[in-house]
Amino acid sequence: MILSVCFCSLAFLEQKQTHFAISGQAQGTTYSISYYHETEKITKRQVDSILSVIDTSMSLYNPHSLISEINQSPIGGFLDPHFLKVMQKSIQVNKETDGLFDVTVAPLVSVWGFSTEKIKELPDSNLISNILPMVGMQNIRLKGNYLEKLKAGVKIDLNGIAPGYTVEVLADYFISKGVKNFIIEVGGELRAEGKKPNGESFSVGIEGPINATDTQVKIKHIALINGKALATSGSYRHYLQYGKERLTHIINPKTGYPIQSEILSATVLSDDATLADGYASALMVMGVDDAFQFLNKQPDLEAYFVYKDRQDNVVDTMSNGFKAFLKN
Amino acid sequence: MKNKHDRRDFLKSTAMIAGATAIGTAPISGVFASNDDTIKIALIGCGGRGTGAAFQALSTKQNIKIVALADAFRDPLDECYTKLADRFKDKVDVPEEHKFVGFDAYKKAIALADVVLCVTPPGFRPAHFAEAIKQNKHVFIEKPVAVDAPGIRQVLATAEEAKNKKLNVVVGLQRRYQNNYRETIKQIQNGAIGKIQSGQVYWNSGGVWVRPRTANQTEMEYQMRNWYYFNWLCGDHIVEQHVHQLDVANWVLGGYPVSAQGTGSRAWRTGKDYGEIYDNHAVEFTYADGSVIYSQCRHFEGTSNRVDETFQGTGGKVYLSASNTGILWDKDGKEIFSHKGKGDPNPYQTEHDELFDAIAKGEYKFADAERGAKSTFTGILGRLATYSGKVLKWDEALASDISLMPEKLSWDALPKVLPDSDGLYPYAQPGKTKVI
Repeated sequence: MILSVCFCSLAFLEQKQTHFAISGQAQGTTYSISYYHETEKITKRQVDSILSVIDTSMSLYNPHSLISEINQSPIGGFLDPHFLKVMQKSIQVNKETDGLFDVTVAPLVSVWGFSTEKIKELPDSNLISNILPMVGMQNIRLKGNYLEKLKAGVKIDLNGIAPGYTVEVLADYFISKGVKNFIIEVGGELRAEGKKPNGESFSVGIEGPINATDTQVKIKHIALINGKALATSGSYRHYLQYGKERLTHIINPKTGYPIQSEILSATVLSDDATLADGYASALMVMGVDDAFQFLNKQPDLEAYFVYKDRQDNVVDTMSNGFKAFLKN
Repeated sequence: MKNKHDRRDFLKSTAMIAGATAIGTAPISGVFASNDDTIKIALIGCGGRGTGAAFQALSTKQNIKIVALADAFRDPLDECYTKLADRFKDKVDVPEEHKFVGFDAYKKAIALADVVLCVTPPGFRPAHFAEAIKQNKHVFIEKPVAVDAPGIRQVLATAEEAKNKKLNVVVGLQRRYQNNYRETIKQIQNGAIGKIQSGQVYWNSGGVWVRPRTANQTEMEYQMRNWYYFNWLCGDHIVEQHVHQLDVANWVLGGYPVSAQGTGSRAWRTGKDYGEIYDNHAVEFTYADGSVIYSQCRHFEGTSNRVDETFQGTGGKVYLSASNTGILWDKDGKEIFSHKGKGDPNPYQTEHDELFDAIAKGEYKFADAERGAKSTFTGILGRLATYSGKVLKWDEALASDISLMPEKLSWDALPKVLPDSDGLYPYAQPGKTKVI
């Protein structure tokens, strides 16, 4: 689940730079863009056109998308450039997180009720053990632009990384059109470049749950972002209530079961929104201690966590480098 | 430097050839003669592959518009139109009166176009291909091109007519347009691993879609919707899907088998929803020079996939796969070539890029139909061999007059294979079923 982020912008002070705002729906979530330029350089129509192409490639909500076709094929297929780039990054993150980020979890996501189809009952251990052999990125091979399935039942879910990629695509588009000062957010993943006319970096409010069982949130910190991407994965909004138990949508690809981690949300700061999105998902699976061990090996990543301590209090912590970006 | 002809020059020269051979056909379609250089396409068969083919055609660099859609059913036509219009906007010019539905819809759609995409279920392709060539259109026709011997003979005859009329025909055997296959097989043809003596080709994977029977469907409608499981529409998966590997085998060996023998069955798909086709075939194809190709295909769930081709020559061996792989080894096992697939184009797109480039330039470059028919017949021969359990010869099987097509094509007509009172369909019994 993606943590929604609010960001603040000041009214322009210079005549040259006008503020433009674009927002809408895409990829089953919302997007919001704020940019400054002398003229309306980029319109909502242009943004929606890009998002439509990405949806046609990687949206599981579109039964006719390329990813839906690939999932229906027993052997795989040729990828378009968007899908190819996301698969390449997915393979990278999968290797670096020792398999905790895994895009072949689609069959598990589906049986746990977190896909497009509703379930009537939770899966039992027999069903999970039957599905697990189809999960694991050792069951796919990427050769050039061809994604080969080594087992027919393998299915791909890019929802844990595609929103971050979408942010990067839009950011590249804005830059190519000469827009240097913008903040782009898709489903909570964002990238900010440049500054506002008053010289300040874009402000991003980082939300977190008030307590472990409540979906109410508050802004816990304000970060100033320039030339960086921010991605968040959280378990406190998108979940299934089963009796007293709350099951998160984040599935551990190794066990086949929803994670039971003390981490309620993980926010990753990186140069690349695609990678940040993937890492955020993986960090949720790791737990706080292992997450920091991982971060120690990744000098380009910083992270912020909201988690439950042993006394069930909702607390937060962050890497040292993350602190440098906070306003408060 | 090769001269580039504009399309009007092409029209002039082709009309002269048609007159010279006295075929008695009309000149190349009048739309070529207009001042507009837009290439108009018609899609026959608006299902998933058809929509994909239209996407690929409209994605080429040429000035192309789709002007007609035809399908037996209205719903896939509407779905296809929506997706095309959403993606390609002005390139989709299909008013309501150019949306044709029914068994004869293809004739009207073909008349409106310069190029026809024949992408219905395979059983209809021989007739649609024949009509397209009769109306002097260039054609993209998906594989396989037919499902039985009479259909193959019709395609071969039409292929000859297309050649005479210099109409470009591309068959959707996309490995023929895939870089790793082209480059690796060229090396084989140049003798890199000596004379090919044997090979093994596979399509082992899970199965494909199923469309269960719904209330109020006639038998004809049900079989048309669930077409994969009926031989008059599909040809069985050794034909419909495994034709790719069999075509690669024929390409590498430089010929076609003279006989086949094999075994197959229904081991996994045995219920009412699975019509009459088998779910596994294992066939030995013998070629005129004594080479033998072992072919295996299956649709089993939960098993390992294998979709590739490997051949052994007097000087080494080769491995090929659609995943951009082509590797050659010498007789000592040393790797002598490995195709680097990075940046290779999607061959589904290349098929259309090259076809429409030739058409736009007025060039006659593609005559795939004959080899498409013969590779398709390789699959049909294999099916006949597994269904009968007998050793079958190519010539005898190709001469068979057993046609799988219904006597009449209408919604109230009956196909030749019908279910019993339990809803189960009869299927071939090796040793008992007569196939030729």
